[in-house]
Amino acid sequence: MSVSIEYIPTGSPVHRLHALTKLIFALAVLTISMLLSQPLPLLLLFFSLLGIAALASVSQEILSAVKGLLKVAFFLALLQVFFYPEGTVLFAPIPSLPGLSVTDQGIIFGISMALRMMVIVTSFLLFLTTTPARSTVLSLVEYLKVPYDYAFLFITALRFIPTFLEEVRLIGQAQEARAHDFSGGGPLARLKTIFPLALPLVMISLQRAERMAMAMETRGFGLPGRTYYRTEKPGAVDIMVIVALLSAVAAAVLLRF
Amino acid sequence: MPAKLTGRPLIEVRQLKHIYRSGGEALKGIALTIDAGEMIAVVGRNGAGKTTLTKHFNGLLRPTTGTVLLDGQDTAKLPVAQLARTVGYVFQNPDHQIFHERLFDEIAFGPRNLGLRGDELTTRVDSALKAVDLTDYRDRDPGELSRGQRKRAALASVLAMETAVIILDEPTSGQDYQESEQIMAILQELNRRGHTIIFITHDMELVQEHACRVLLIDDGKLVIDSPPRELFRQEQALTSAGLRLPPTAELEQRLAAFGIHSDAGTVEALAASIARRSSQITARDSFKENCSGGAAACQ
Repeated sequence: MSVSIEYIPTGSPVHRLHALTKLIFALAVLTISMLLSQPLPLLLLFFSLLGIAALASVSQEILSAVKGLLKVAFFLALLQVFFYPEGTVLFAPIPSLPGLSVTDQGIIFGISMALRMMVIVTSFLLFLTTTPARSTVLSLVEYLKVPYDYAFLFITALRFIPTFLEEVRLIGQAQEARAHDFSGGGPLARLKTIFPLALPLVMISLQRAERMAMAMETRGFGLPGRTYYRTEKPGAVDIMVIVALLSAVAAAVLLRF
Repeated sequence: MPAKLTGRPLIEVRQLKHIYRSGGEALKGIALTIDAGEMIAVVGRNGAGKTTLTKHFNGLLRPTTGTVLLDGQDTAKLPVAQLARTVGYVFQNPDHQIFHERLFDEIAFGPRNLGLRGDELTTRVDSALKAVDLTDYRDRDPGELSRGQRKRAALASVLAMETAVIILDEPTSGQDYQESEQIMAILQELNRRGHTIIFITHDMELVQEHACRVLLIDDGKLVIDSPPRELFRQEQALTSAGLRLPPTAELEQRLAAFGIHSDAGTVEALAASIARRSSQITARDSFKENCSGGAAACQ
């Protein structure tokens, strides 16, 4: 299963929102989904997320991720259905094990649980596909006062994922060209076949890190008084969306308690 | 081992297209055949498709459409590890393959995978080490070697497999002049012993001096397939593929406009023909000066 969680630049209204707004959105959806316990409101919430995905022109990516999630959701629901003890027993597959009986509340709980998981994952996928990592990190540094070194660490890690995948591919090819067989035998044998891949990768990564550290130092990384070329300020729309999100959370809290 | 001469081409590429998963069409229909014992240079600008093409010869990449036959067998149907018995591939960056703590074991990795053991293995590894002048480092950690030495170690690790075909992706990049010459001398020697050598390069002088055939790739297409001397006559095609004539070939062409002809492609030959010509000119000029009719009459 290859689910893309990369930023997809489509320039939609959703993309134009501030990173902070979208982060608050994902957290608000998370909170609301925790407060909702019935399948129907959760389903509505889920569909509204798909609506937002369409607005952001990332439906294709989100839907393919959702398809992958369905399997996980199904197993999650099944587990809950069988192990939820309360409610009226509808049927018991193994009579000697009363703990495994299926109840009406169990079914509802299981479906809700699965939907909740889908909602939470989808909302974060929406956040990731519509927000460049750089903007996220900058807003963390500027508004949430995360130290830049940590933010840089995070940004760099994200930035190097594709590079590492490319290295893995090349190393794999180089060893295959020397007649190395990666698909060898049992689990232990297979673990051994990984060495020719893993060791060059570690060496290359260390070299790269060292070179990068030097390149950064020569360009003055770590000097105090860092300024930013690009600063992004939340606009009026952002304020409105944030207020709406916070009221929605407040409403959900009030309805629940 | 030199390839057996079966009469059919060693490598046959038919209407090969390759589209990467990211959607880029790297090869747009390439057809060519390579016979056993050839020494071929593959040239073209970065991103033209040189590496993509050569990686099809040992199954590292599979055709999107079209076929690549190695000794008559469809490479798409065979695992790379098996094709590696016939085709060796030296990658551009040696650090993509080095992982042993002892150079000997690094060089022995390929031959061991081919099932070699004992004395034969040792002999092969030692002669490969000797060929690339790294015998003194036999029991050292390859990590201690310089980049140039690591590059030659990677070459040795493929040499030791004694494949009929050896493909090299920019074998001389990052090497100084002497090291480059050394590597090319090794390749020529292997070629003389019957190995088919295919090397990717940006160095047109290497092409001029060492290749018997050049494949010019541009934008995923095989633009020219000819001996180097013929390629150098098509300056237009070279320029539009982002390449430049080697200096001696360029000088030959400029001099041809003055009636000085030479096509040996070496500095010595050019110097000799210039010297010949200038002594003719000196002779004529001294005739002019001595001519009683004066300069006007001579013209």
